[in-house]
Amino acid sequence: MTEDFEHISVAEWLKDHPEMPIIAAGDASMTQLAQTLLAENSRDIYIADDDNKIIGHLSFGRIVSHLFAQHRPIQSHRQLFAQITDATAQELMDPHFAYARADETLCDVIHRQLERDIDNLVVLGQDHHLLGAIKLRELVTESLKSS
Amino acid sequence: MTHSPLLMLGVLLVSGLLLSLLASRFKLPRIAAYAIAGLLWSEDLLGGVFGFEITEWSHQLTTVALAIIAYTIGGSVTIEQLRRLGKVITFCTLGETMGAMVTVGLAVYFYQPNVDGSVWVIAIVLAVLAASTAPAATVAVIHQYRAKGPLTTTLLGVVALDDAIGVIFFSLMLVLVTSASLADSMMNSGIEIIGGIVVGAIIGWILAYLGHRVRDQRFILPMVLGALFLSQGLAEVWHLSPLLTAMAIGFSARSVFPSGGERLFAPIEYLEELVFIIFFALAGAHFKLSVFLQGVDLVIIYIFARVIGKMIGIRVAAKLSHAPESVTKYLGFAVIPQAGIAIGLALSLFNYPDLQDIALLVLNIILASTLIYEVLGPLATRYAIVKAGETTQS
Repeated sequence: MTEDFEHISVAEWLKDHPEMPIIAAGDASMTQLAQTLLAENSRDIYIADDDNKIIGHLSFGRIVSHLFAQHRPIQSHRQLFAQITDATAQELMDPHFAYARADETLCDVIHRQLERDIDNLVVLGQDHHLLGAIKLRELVTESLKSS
Repeated sequence: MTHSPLLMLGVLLVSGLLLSLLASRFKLPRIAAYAIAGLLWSEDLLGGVFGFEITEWSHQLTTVALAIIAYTIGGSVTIEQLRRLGKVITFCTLGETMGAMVTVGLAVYFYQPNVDGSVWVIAIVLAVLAASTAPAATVAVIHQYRAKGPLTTTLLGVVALDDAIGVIFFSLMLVLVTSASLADSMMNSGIEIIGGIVVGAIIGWILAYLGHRVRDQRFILPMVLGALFLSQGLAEVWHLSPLLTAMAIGFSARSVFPSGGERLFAPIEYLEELVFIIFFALAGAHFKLSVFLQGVDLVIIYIFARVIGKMIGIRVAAKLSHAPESVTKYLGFAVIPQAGIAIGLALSLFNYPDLQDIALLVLNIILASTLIYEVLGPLATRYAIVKAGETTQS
């Protein structure tokens, strides 16, 4: 199956595995994001703007390191302000997140997903509109089925 | 003995690191270790034996190091976060900084110390240096005692914000005391301050644009350092305030690219420890016993006036902003620590020919007071959070 990944496009994969990523609004608090990720048992959350365009990504680790900031002995001025002012998702998100396009092959995508340590990679269409998500867990499951 | 600046810098850095490793084994403050390392290489000790000449080459280094700190402070907060800070934090920060500045300035001026240089200049320089605190020391105490509550939150906000106010007032003070006349001062103020902010804002905008466009994270640090070097060079050539220029770059970049905090600032924040080693080791190396003895009475006045000013300022501001009782009663004790920013600003006085006469005296006063505050400050912070009932560990 792993070899087949070279020939499967992201669009084809999404037809058989129609998954959607977890989305939150830019003004969501870190507590809300952590609760959502815990409820969904996921590590990745994407931030969408009012037009439903994906504008950023936050990992569970990033959210938790903000929530547990008071337990860390050293903080920069920036981290102090973020802690005191209850920074929002839009202020802490990574705007340079990894994503996949529908016409790419899975092989290209897997490298990106592993390199950025992302479980659920968002798939975007024109103007960053959401098409779906590729779950690493499903890729591995498919791969093991055929081996 | 060679007078190689690189050799001297290397010796200072290695001595500072080795002593700080030793200090950490005995749970002693690392910044004191950096300062003692510098002190060992001062003119009165090993520096005299080996013929070290620190003053000549350290100016550019101090300028770059301060620019790094000013950039991180400027970019530490977005406009939206400033709005959310709340009245109590804003009032208390203004109260403690203004209180310390006024009290130190008046105390030194009316004491009329018998030192070289103009008394009012010494008074105003020490006054603005009294504004900042030491976030690192405060955060360490809060972490140690697992403190949580209104006092702790206000304290974190105040120590994060007052460094910015300290840098701004220091820049304004430099414009004032380095001008030949009042009219000259007004003219220079316009050019130095507004010019610095405009140039910084433009460079910051370009930096944010590039930071957004360039995907490869490896380019970010060179980009930021390039922008800072360029800004400091332009500030020197065009006679702009170097600190305000660097601060404006940070603030502008973060405003244009609000979610770029991690991207544009995290890489440079890793350099902060290096900057503080440089500040303290250089300050220690500038220590001169004869100058210290000449100003020992000023050290005592500065220490007491700064503490009293901060306490009175916070009490008034807390009352005005209807702060919780714990904040009104105890926050003043918690803002005593003083560290890197004050040392760095004091070191930068050597860059200004008009202030050469007082630079060594002021630096020695700030270094000595910082070391004393380093011992007393955490104890006072601990007292405040314990009395406020916000500690969960004894």
